[in-house]
Amino acid sequence: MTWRRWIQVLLLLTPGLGLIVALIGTVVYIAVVQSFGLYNLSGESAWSVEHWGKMFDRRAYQRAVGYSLYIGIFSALFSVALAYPLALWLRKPFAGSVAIGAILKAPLLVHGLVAAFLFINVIAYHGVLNQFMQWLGIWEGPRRLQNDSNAFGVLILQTWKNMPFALLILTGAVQGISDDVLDAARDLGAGSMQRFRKVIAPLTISAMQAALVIIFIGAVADFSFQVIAGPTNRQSMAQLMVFFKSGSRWHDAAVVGVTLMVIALAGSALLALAARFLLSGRRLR
Amino acid sequence: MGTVEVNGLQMRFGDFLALPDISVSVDEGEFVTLLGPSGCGKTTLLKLISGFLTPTAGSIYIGGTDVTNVPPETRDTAMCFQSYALFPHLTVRENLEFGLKQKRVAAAERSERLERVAEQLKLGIQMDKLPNQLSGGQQQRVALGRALIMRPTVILFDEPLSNLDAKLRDTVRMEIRRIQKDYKLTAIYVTHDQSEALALSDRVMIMNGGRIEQIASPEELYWSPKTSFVADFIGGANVLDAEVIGEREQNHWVLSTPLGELVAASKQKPQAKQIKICWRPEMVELGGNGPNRIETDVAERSFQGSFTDLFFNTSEQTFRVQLPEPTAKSGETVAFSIRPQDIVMLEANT
Repeated sequence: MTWRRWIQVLLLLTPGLGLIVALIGTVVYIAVVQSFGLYNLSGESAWSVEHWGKMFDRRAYQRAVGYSLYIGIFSALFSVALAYPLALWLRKPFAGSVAIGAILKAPLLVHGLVAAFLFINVIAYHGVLNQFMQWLGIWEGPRRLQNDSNAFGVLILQTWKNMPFALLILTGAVQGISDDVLDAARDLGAGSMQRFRKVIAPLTISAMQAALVIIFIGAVADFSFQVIAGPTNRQSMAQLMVFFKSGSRWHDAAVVGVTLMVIALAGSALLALAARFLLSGRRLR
Repeated sequence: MGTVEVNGLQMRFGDFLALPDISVSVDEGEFVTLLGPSGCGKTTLLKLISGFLTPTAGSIYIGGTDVTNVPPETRDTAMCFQSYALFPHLTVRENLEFGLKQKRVAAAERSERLERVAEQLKLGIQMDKLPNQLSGGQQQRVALGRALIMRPTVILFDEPLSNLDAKLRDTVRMEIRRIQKDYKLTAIYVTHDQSEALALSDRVMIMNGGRIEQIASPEELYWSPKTSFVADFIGGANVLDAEVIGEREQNHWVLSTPLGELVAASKQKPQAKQIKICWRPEMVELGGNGPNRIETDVAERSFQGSFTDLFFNTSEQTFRVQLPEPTAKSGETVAFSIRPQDIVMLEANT
């Protein structure tokens, strides 16, 4: 392409992509430089790596990074793992399949905060679940399920909220595989798991990567589910960032924010690469 | 033992009865073609034999073993699909090896089989290509190789040549037949192309509306069709109504037809007084003084290369004769005769 052509392409892209790049770029720039001591909103600005140094030594920060990665990775994996069999089940239309598909996608329309409060009501000490388990005679007395230290509640909420999104992406991809290709695999001796591993997963790998990455980015930065249903003995990165911001510690909040951006970027890339490596039938293209 | 035996097979899809009652047996090493119009149930029967469908009633035996409820992955059959169904993300080599890996065939044997199939199907230089980098004919050969490499008891073909152009179709058709003979495979082949069926098969099974009309060798089907459907479907015979009005001499039957009085020679008695008869368009003699002499005006003439079709009309239907080099033009009168033994008496006319 000639330089004139390049300029023409750039000019055509500017109204749409340019605006996005400008807005996101500004935010990223401010967050990065703020983490190095500039753009101080309540005092003097001075270039420094002190905030990063201190933050790396802070135990709450280390725990937040580990915890957010745990939530991000497992939410993405659980959502995709649950969405795959459903997508395969709904691959061919049958009586009631449209209604089932619509019900499965309903969580997309429910706000996260509403879902979290509903979930808390269900698992509360005097909630429906405890009453039901006692009624069945499985539990003798009510159990404390709320804000569990392993964050299973948050994982359930994240999976509930994100699975329909994965289902939406994967359904289209799975429907794109012809019946003959799946029949051929079966005819050649591949059982259900082998068909999934050797044919379905490699042929839908791009959709799976997209679902994993988008869910991971959302879940790693979770705030609302964590605040309401998360464990009380640790914070997510978003929670930690808000904590610093509330104390007007803008530079510390920026360090956490930039870390979150780096983790989201690097984590999603690693997750996508791992998925391709494991399931694409060895072929990295 | 590569025999296939189907007993009283019935297949129902909801209210629709696709196959009411099919019984047929295929011998070891035999090439049987299922031929019929679209929707006649031939692919359904193939899917039942391959295990992709479970019959509503009846049983299927392969090599003497009841496989009626055995899933396709554990059935000793291999299928060649109409769409080739190659795995688009795998190379030709990986496609060919797929089944062997599933069956955990040892690496040494895998590579020996791979080499043989690649050589036989001339796929050597294509081994590292993806399916989308191959032509239709090459993809078809890979699909064939992928089935052959499994060395199945029975190989099944679902209209495998329908996506190829006419020239390539002839080449691959011969290749399929050669390989089937080389490997002594029992083959069941589905097609709606009668020339394909006649050229390839030891026996052809004509299906219509989920039922078997006739199963016989290509020659028998062509020269001695049992029903008007078979006569018309194979080679486009002239089929007409007839009334048996007497027996002239031994095995010679006098018939009253829209073309006048005709005589048919047959060892078998007619099935009823009112029957259908047929004769092949090419089985006529120009001029001639036989018992079945017909003189008529040519309504239309159609040059077909090695022969020419002449069409003539009666009040109810159009008939066709095929002659190598007729001089008669449209509108001219032509006389021809049909030998009594070339007139076939078919089913009763209901």
